[in-house]
Amino acid sequence: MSDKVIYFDNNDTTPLVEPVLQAMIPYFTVHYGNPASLHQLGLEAEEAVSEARAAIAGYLGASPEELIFTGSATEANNLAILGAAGMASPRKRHLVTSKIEHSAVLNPMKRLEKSGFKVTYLEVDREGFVDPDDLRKALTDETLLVSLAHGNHEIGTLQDLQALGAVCRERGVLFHSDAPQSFSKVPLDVGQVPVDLVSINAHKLHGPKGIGALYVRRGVKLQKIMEGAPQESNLRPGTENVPGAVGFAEAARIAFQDMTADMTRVSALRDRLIDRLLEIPHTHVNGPRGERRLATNADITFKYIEGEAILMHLSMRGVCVSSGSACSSKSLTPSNVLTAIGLKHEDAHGSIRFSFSKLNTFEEVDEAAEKVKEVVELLRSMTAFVPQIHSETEGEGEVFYKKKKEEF
Amino acid sequence: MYTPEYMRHFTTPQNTGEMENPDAVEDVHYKGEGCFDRIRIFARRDGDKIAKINYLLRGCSGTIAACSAMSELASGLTLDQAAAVQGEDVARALGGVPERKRHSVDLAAEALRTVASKLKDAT
Repeated sequence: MSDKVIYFDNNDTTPLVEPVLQAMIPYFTVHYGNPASLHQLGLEAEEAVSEARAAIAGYLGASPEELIFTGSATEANNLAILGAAGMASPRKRHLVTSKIEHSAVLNPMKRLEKSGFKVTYLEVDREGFVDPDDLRKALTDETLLVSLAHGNHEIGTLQDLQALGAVCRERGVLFHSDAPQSFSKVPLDVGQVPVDLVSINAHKLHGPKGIGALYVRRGVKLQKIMEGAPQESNLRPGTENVPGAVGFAEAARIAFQDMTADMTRVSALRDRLIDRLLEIPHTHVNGPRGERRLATNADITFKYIEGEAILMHLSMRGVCVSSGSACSSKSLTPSNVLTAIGLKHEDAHGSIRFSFSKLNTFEEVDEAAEKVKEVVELLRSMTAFVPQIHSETEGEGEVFYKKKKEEF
Repeated sequence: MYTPEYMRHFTTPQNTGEMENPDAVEDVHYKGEGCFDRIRIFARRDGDKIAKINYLLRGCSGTIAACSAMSELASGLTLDQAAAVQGEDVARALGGVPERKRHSVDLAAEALRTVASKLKDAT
């Protein structure tokens, strides 16, 4: 791997920034008490957690008591979905989500299906948007909860939570949003947006891993999903991650400080990379363009080659990205998000996600674009699929894919 | 996580590209669900031996590395030997592969067996 790294995998995780680390260190070494302890060190820790809670809740327009710290956004999603189901009356056994959700939403849903709940998986359009009318039609008198991510983790689609939440509110249905990708990237004020549960985390905003949070609107009842002591309003047992909470709050403070200016610049980075990469033949963008897309996300399909091979070549050239290719995983099953927006499986295999943070630069974008072009050209030079190369026509490739499809 | 041999073959694959006037050309593709790996293999014979293998492909790093290793190990094999090559032989030439790349070595071996059988049939 190259010495200099261009890190374009910020939708996966972001580097912890120095001020966050400095804010956290004393809570490992000096103020190391357990917030449940009644002595001085415990009280210091409790105060730190309270201040962090109030700060983070404030960025959502929530009250401190409405924010529950968890170990991750995944845990927050599980607490929201399984916790709501645990309190459901026998008449409320229906949940709604979409086909492009993260596994941290889809898998709790699947677990509930096994215990007798019915789940509707909404279709999305070619850009990944859920139609509020489709949501309205899916709701029944038995619907307990709707869970739809704010910013999609693969293709960056920003759902219209205002419109979707309004549909839920009309029917008195709980509305949960998985929002770690959008938190501190686009405003979300729970005073304005009709959402009842919101999952976020710290490591997507240059904070530490191992801490997330769930916003729980006052009055919403959840059943805890782990047993233990009554921390976090008796919803999440376990000694609080004090340094994590402090780091989360500091990361949020920095992120929200110049959010609009930072995200304007990051979206310009995104658009520059997309425009440069679209110069490559047989290439297209997945997800929307413009303001309805996360500033941090670009997802591109390079037809006729494998995303995993692109990713590995880029990694060796010092560019870190993610792939929707199934060959990066054991199952060989392509991304549920890419197939849900209508990509053919073979095109989903050739997709790469580039994701940015405010630490990235235009120079990095230009350098990465050149490296991507070089890698795509290299891999296509040995493929039998690119039209006009190696005397194979597009027609032949299509016939192969059709035949392959018929095998299943 | 990948062996040096795997990485060498992946980064500098040998014998890629179309072959002029091959004695046999065959297409094989992965038969399982989800994966679209495909190999077009070209072979030239010298008597009852494989003289040279070339290939074009669509595939992941595993299939690129496996085809490259297969093309090297095939050179000089008799047609009978080539028609008996298994995925495990290709995996050994790569110094081993993780389980998720098993499909790659199996497909590369299948490509070689298929083209060797065609050459034998033409004898």
